[in-house]
Amino acid sequence: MKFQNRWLTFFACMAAFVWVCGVDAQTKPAAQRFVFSDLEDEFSNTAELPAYVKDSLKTFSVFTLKNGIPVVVKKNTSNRIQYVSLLIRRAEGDETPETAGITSLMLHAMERGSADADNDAIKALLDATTSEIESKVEYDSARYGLRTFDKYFSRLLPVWARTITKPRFDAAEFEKVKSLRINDLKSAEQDPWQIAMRTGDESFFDGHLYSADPQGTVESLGNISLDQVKAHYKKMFAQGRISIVAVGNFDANSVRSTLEKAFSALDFAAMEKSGSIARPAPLEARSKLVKKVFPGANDVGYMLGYFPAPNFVDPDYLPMRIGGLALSGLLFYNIRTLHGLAYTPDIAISNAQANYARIIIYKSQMLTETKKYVDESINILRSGKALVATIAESDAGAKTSEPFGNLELIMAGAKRQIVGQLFNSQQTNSGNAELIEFSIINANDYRAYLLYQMRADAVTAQQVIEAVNRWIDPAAIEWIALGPAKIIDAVDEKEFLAVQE
Amino acid sequence: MKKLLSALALLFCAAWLVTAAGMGDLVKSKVLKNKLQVMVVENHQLPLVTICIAFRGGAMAQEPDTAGLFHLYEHMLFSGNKKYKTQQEFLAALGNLGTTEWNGSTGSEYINYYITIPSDELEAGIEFWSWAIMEPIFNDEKLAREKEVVLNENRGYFADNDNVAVNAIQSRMFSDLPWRKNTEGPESNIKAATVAQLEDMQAKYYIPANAALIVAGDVKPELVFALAEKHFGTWQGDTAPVIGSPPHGPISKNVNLIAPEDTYFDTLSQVQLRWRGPDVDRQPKDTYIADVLVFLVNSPVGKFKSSLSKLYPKIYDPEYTFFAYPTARDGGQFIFLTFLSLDENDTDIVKSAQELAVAVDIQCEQISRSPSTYFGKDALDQAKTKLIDANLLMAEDPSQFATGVLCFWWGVADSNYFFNYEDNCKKVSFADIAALAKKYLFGQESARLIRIKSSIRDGYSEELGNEKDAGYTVVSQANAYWWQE
Repeated sequence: MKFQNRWLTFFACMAAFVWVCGVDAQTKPAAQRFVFSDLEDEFSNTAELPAYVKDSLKTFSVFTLKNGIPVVVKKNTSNRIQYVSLLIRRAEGDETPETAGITSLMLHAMERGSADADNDAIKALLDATTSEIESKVEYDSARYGLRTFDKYFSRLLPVWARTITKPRFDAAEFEKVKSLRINDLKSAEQDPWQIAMRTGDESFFDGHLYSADPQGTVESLGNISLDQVKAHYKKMFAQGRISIVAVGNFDANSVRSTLEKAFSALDFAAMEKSGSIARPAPLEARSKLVKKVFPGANDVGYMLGYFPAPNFVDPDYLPMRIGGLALSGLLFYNIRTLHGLAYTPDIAISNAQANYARIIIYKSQMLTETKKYVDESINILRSGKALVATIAESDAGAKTSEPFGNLELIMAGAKRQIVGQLFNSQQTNSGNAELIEFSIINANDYRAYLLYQMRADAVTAQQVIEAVNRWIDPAAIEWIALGPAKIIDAVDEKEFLAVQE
Repeated sequence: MKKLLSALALLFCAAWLVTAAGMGDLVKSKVLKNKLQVMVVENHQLPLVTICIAFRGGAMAQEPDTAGLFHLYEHMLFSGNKKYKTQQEFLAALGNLGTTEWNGSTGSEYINYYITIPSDELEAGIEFWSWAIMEPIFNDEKLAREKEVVLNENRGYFADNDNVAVNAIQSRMFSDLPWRKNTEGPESNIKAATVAQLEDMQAKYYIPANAALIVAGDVKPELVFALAEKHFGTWQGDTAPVIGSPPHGPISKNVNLIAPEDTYFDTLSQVQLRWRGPDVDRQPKDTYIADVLVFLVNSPVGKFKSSLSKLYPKIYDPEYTFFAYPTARDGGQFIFLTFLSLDENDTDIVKSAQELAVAVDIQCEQISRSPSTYFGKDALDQAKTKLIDANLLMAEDPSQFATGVLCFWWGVADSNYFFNYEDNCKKVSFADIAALAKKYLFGQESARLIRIKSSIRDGYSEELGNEKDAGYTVVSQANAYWWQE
C-alpha cells in the first residue's frame, strides 16, 4: 500500500556528555550521582510522575565498572532475548570525507575475531546460538551490540567482550571486511532511491561535519589501512566515549560481575582520553535543486526535500514531531488521494544533533507538479490547518466531507500517535537499548525518554503552528530530484523552486 | 552487503527465518461460526495492539486477465467504505485512533492489512477494519486515481534489477502458469480494471471463510474473540475458494538465463540455481524436512558451505551463499544463490556457473547418500534447536510476529500446519533428508540465472559464444515478465 520508510529509526543519535565516576544512582547523593543522570531533579519528585514512569524506573540498575565504564541495565521480563550494547560517541575530527566510514570498518573488523577466537569460531558460536553481533554507525554515535538468548548469555558475553577489549584485527579478515563494505555500497548504487538519498545527503551536508558519511564511500573505504583502523580504535575507546547498555531479563548483580570480569582487560589508564566533544553546528536551510539522471529508474522519479529540524533538546522538538505527522497526512491527501501523483509522499524527521528532515516523494512521474502540492500542504499546515475530514451538513441537510480543519482537532490523535511510536520502538530489547542510548546522548540521562509522553501531552496546537512556521519554509528547502532523463529533463529549475502560495 | 542481504531476504520470502514452532502456548485461536479464524498473541509489555486481517489470494489466485488486480484491490480498500466514505475520512480515522503503523501488502499467496494502535482502542480498531473489509465502496473515480498510484508503484518494481531477475527466472521455470508468480501484473490489466472486477473479487476472496483476523499485543484473548464476533459475526460469504489449482507441474527444462545489468558489481557475479520443491498442498511432510535441511546447509561454518567453498574457491564468501526453501502452498522451489569473484584471466562466466552447478550437485549427491556422514548427528540436533530459537526470536516483537510470521504460515498453509510445526520438524530424520535430497535436488532439473555487470559481459567476447552454445537467454527489463514473452 505504501513504501515503508525505515531508513530513519525513531530514536538514534547523541549529544554531549561529561565524564564523572558514577555510582549507584538510585541510592547515592547528587554529588556522586551516576554520570548519566542530569535530569535527576525531574525524576526525584516521584509524586508528580505517572505510574508507568515510576514502574519503569524500578526496572533500571546503573553502576560504573572499576575501569570507569558506566553501565545501564534495564530489566525486561517479557521475552527471553538479552541485548547488550557498547555505545561509542562520535566527535568532530573522528572522520573526514577522506576517512569516512573508518568507524564502521573498525566495528565490522572487530566482529571478525578476538585474540582468543577467530572469525570461524565466532561465526560458529553465533550460528549455534541464533545470536548476532551487530554494529551500527550514525552521524553522532556508534553501537556495537550482542543479541542473544538468556540461556546463552553467560557463554556469549565474554566472547563479544573480547572482540572489544582484544580485537584480533587480522589482516586477511580486514581486507575481507573492506571488500564486503565496498560491495555493500556498490549494491546501493543499483537502487535509485538509495542513490537519491546519498546524492541529497552529499549536497545538504556539504561543508558540515556530517559530510563524512558514516558508511563511507567506495573511495574512502578503499584507501583506509588496517594501521589506520588500529589507531582509530585507540582514539575511539577512550574515557568519556564509551558506555554499556543492557536490556533483558537480567539479574543486575550477576550481569555486573560478568561485565566487570569481561571488561577488566580494557584499561583506560593506557588509553587516550577524549577531549570535550562539542555539538555539531546546525545545518543551514537553503533553496536549491539538484537534478540527477539515473537511466535505470525506468519510468518513475524520486524526490527528497531537506531542511533543518529541531533536535531533542530544542523546545520545538515535540511540536515539530506533531507537525510532521500533520504534514504527512496533508501530503498523502493532496498528492496521492486527490491527484494520484506519487506512490508515497511523506516526511521523515531525523534524530541527529544537527537535526534535519526530509520530505519524501517516492515514485512519481510528475515531479514539478507534485512539488506544487508539497508547497500547498506546507502552507495549509503553516496556516494552522490539518487533514481532519469532518462531516459538514448544509442547511438543506446535505452532508459533505470537509478535508481541512483547525490543527487543534487532530492534536489528541497526533499525541497518541507519537507516543505510540515511542512504545513501538520498545517492542524489542534492542529497541529499548537504543532509546536509552538516545537519552544518554541527547539529554545525558538514561531516563529521558520516559518523560516523552508527559511532555507530548503538554504540547499545544499553537506551539505546533509556531514550530512549523519557524522550521518549515517552502522557500528554504533543498531538493534532490532523480529519475530517467525524460522525467528529470522536464523539470525546469526556476519553475520548480518557485513557491506556490 | 547487508542491504543486499535484505533484498535477498525478500526474494526468498525469508523462508529460513519465518518458522513456526511452539505456537500452541503463544497463539490462542478460535474459528467463528462464519468460518473466520481469529488468532490472538497476548503480550502486555507495552500498551499497544496490532490488528491484522489476512486473506488467501494474491498472485497464486490470479488468471492472465486478472494478474495485478489483487494488488489494486489492496489499494482500493484504503480508499473508503460505508462508514469512512473517502480516503481522507479513512486517513483521519486512522489518526484519531492514534495509529502508529498501518499498511497493506499483496504477496504470492496472501494479502494482509494491519494497524498498530493504543491497546485501549482495541474495539475501535476491530470495528475500523470491519467496515473496511465488509463494506468497501468502489467507484470509477476512486479507481481511476488509484490506478495511477499503482502504476507508479509498479514502474519502480519493473526498474528494480532484483525484481527483474526473480521474475525472469520464475516466469520461465513455471511457464505453465507464470501469472501465479508475479503480483504486479501487466499495465494493461491495471488500466483496464473495472469496479465490477473488484466486486467479483470481493465476493470470491474477501469472505470470512478465506480470512484470518490476527490480534497481537496488550489484549486478552477472550475479549478479542468476543469483539471479533460482535463486529465480524454478521459477515457472510461463500465457501473458501480453491487456490493453487490446478497445481504447477515440474519446472520447465533448460532454463538458463544471463542478466547483464549496467549497475551490477564490477568484481562479482551472482549465480542462482533453482529446483522444483515440495508444496504444502501435496507434500506437506516434505516441507518440514525441507526447512530442517535449510537450517543444516545454511550454517556459516557447516559442512555444506565449507565443502562447497573448498571445492569451488571462486565463491566469494560462504556468508553470502544461501540455500532457501520458501514454504509454498503450490509452486515450491529450492533456491541456491551465491556470488562468484570475477577473475580477469578467467572470463567465462557460463563455464563458471556450470562448474558451480556441478559442485553443488556433488554436495547434494553426498547428502542424498548419507546425510548423517555428511552433516554429523550433532548438526541435525543443532539445526532443530536453531529452528526453535528462531521462533523465540521472532516472538520478541508481537506486532512483527502477527503481521509477518502468523500471516505467512496461515497464508501458505493453515493454523494446524504451524501449530504442529515444531513437533513435525523434530521428527525429521536423516533418512527423511536423504530421501528429500534425492527426490528434489540431486540430479534433478534446475534453472540457472547469472547476474553480471553489462560492461564485463560485453568485454568477454568469447563468452558471448559460450552463452549461445550453452543455451543461455539474455534477460532484461524488456523480457523478464511473463506477459512480455
